[in-house]
Amino acid sequence: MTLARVALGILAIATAAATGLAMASAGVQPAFVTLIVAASLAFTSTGLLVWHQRPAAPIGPLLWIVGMAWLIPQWRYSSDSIMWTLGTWLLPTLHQAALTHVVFAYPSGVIRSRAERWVVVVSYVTATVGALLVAAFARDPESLGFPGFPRNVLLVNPDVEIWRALISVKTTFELVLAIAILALVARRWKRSSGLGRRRLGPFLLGGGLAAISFSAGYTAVGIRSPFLSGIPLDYLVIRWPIAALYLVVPIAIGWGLLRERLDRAGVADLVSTAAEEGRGLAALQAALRSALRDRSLELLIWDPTRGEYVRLDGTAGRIPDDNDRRIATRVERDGGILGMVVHDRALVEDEALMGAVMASVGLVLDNQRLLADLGSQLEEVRASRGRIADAAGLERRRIERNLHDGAQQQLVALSLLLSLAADGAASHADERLLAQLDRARKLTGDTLADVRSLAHGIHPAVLTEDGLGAAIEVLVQRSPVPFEVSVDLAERLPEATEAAAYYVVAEALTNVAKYADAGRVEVRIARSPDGITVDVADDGVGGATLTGGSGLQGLADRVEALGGSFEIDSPRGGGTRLRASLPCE
Amino acid sequence: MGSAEWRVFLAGPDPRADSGSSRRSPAEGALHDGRVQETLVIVDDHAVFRSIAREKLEADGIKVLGEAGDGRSGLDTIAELRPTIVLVDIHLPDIDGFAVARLIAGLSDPPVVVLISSRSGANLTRRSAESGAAGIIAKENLSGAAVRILLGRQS
Repeated sequence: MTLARVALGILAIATAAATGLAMASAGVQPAFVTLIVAASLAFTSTGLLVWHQRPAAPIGPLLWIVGMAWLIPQWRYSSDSIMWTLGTWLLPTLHQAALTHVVFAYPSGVIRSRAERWVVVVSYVTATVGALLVAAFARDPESLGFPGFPRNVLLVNPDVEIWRALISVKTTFELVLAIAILALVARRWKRSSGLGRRRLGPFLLGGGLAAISFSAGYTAVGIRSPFLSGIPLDYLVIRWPIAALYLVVPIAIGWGLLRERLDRAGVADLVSTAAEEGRGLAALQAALRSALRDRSLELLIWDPTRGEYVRLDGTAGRIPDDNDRRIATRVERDGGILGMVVHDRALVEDEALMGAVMASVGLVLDNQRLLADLGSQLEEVRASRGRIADAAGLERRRIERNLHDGAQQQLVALSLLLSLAADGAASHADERLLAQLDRARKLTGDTLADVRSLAHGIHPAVLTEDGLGAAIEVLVQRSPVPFEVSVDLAERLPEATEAAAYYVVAEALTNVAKYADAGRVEVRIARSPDGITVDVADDGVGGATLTGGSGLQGLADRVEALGGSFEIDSPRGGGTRLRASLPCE
Repeated sequence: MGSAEWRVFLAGPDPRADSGSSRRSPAEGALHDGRVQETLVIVDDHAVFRSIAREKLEADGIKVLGEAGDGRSGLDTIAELRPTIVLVDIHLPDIDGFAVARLIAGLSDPPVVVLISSRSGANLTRRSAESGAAGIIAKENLSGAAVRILLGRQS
C-alpha cells in the first residue's frame, strides 16, 4: 500500500511538472502555471496523506483524483491531438465532479443522502457523457481559422447548431448542479452542530465554494467560448480565483484533519480526567458535552434491575428513534451494554472520534460498575460481620442467663438447704455432722462463686441490667492497678455498643495488669457526635501491638465488626493509649 | 466471683454464728415479752428456693404467712396477708424487685422490704437503698438473724 502511494505521488509530481512545462512553453503566465501546479500538488499530496490516515475511506484516493483531474484542462496547451481533445473537450470538468464527490462523501467516504448521491452521479455524467456528446460536434480549430492547432479526435459531425444546443444543455445542467450543490451544502451545514459543524466547516466551505465557482466559471466560459466569439477576457479573470480556491480546499482539509486529531486527544484527556478524579457520572457527562461541543448530550445508564436506561437523575431515559435529530450510541464493554450516549446525529460522521469517546466512556462506566459492585460486596461483608457479632453477643447473654437461672439458682438453694441442715445438726449437738455440713456449705459457696465468675466472664449481667457505668465500676473494684474512671454517659446505649466498650476496658485492664507494669490507668468513656469513644491510657512500659497475642486484635475485630475504629499508640517506654470509637445506631 | 463487691452488700452475718444463735432466738424471746410476732411473705420465682427459705426462716422464728412467684401476685398477697416483712427477689419475671419495693413503700403502713439476690452487682446496695428497702441479702446467706439485722438497721 505504501509503495502504491509512493508511486502515485511520483506520478502526480511528474504529471504536474509535465503539464506545467507544457503550459509554460505555450506562453502561459508563469504565476498562473505555478498556481495550477501548486493546487494540483496540494490535492494529490493531501489525498495521499488522508489515504494513509484513513485507508478504509475512499476520500484520500478521491482527493488524489481531483488533483490529477485538475491538470486535464491544461492539456489544451498540448500540441498532441489526443491530449488536446482530452483537455479541451473530453474531461476538462472531471475534477469538478470528483470534487463534488469528495464534498459529499467527506469524511466517512459514504454519501448518505439520496439527493447528494444524485448530484454526484449527475456531476459525473455531465463531466463524461455530456462532455463526450459536446466533443462529438466540436469543430476543429483549423476550420475556425487557427492553423497549426491539434485536431479534435472525437469529432463526428461539425454541426454548429447541435453543438450549440448541447453546450447550452450542458451549461444548464451545470448551473442546476451548482444550485443543488449549494443547497445540499447549506442543508448539511444546518443539520450539523457543535463539533460536527466545526469538523465540516472548512471542508464544506472550501469544497462547496470551489465546486460552485467552477460551475459558474465554466458556465461563463462556455457561453463565451473562444470558438464562439473570440478570446474571452472573462475567462482570464475568473481562472485566477478558481485556481486559488483549488489551492485553499486541500489546505482546509489538512487543517480539518489536524483539528480532528486535536479534538480526539482533547476528548480522551477530558474523559480520562473525569474518570481519574472519580467525580462520578455527572462529571463524565459534563466532560463529554464540552469535548464534543454538544450541550444537550446525555449519558444514559443501563439499569438491569429496572430493565431500562436511566438518566443521571434517575428518571427513565428516552432512546431517540430513526427520525430524531439526535441519535443514541451504545456504550459496550466486553460484549455487555453499559449505557447509551444520546448525542447530535452529526457526530456519527466522525467515526474515529466517536469510537475513541465510546471506548473511554465504556472504560469509565465499567470502572464505576466494578467500584459499585465492590462497594456493595464490602457492605454485605460488613453487614454480615455485624450480624455474626450480634448473634455471638446474643448467644453469650443466653448462656449467662441459663447459668443464672439454672445452676446458680440450684446452688443458692442447695447452700441455703445446707445451712438449714447445719442448724438441725447444731440443735442436736452433732459436732461431726455440723463440721461436714459446714464443709459442704463452703464447697457449695465456692462452686457458686466459680459459676458466677464463669457467667460474668461470658457476659456481665450487670452490663445488661445496670449499664456500662455500673459494669465499669465492677471492673474498678476488681482491678489490681488503681485507675481513674470517667464515664460521661447520660443514657443507655445499644447493647452491642455497651458490650464492646465494656470488653475494650476489661481487656485493656487485663493487659495493663499482665504486661504494662503501670502505676496508674485512666479510663475515659465519652459521647462523640455519632457514638462513643473509649480511651484507656496507662503509664506503663508500652510496646503493645495488635499482633502480639495480647488479645488486642480480638478487640479491634469486635470494634470493627460494629463499624467502629480501633487505634493503639504504644511507644516502647511511653505508656499505652487505646482508643475505640464505637457507633450507636 | 466471691469478690469484695459481693461481700459489700452481704448484710447477713456468718452462717455458723447464725445457726449458733438460733437456739436462743431473740424473736422467740421477744414474743414472750409481748412484742409483735414477725410475719413474712416471700416473693421469688424459684419455687424450690421459696420452700427452703420458708423452712429456714421459720426455723429461725419468723412466721412465713405466704409466698408469691412474681411481683404482681406478691403485691396482692401482701395486701391480703399484711405481713410485717416482705422478702423480695430483685429478679422477678414481671417487675423487678426494686420496683416492687418502691410500690410497697407507697402503701399506707407498709411492711419492711428486704431484698434478696442470687447475682452480684456493683450498685445493688445503692439501688436497694434508693428503692426504700431495708437492705439486701445474698440468697445463700439468708437467715432469720440476717433479716433481723436489717430490721434493726431500719428502726
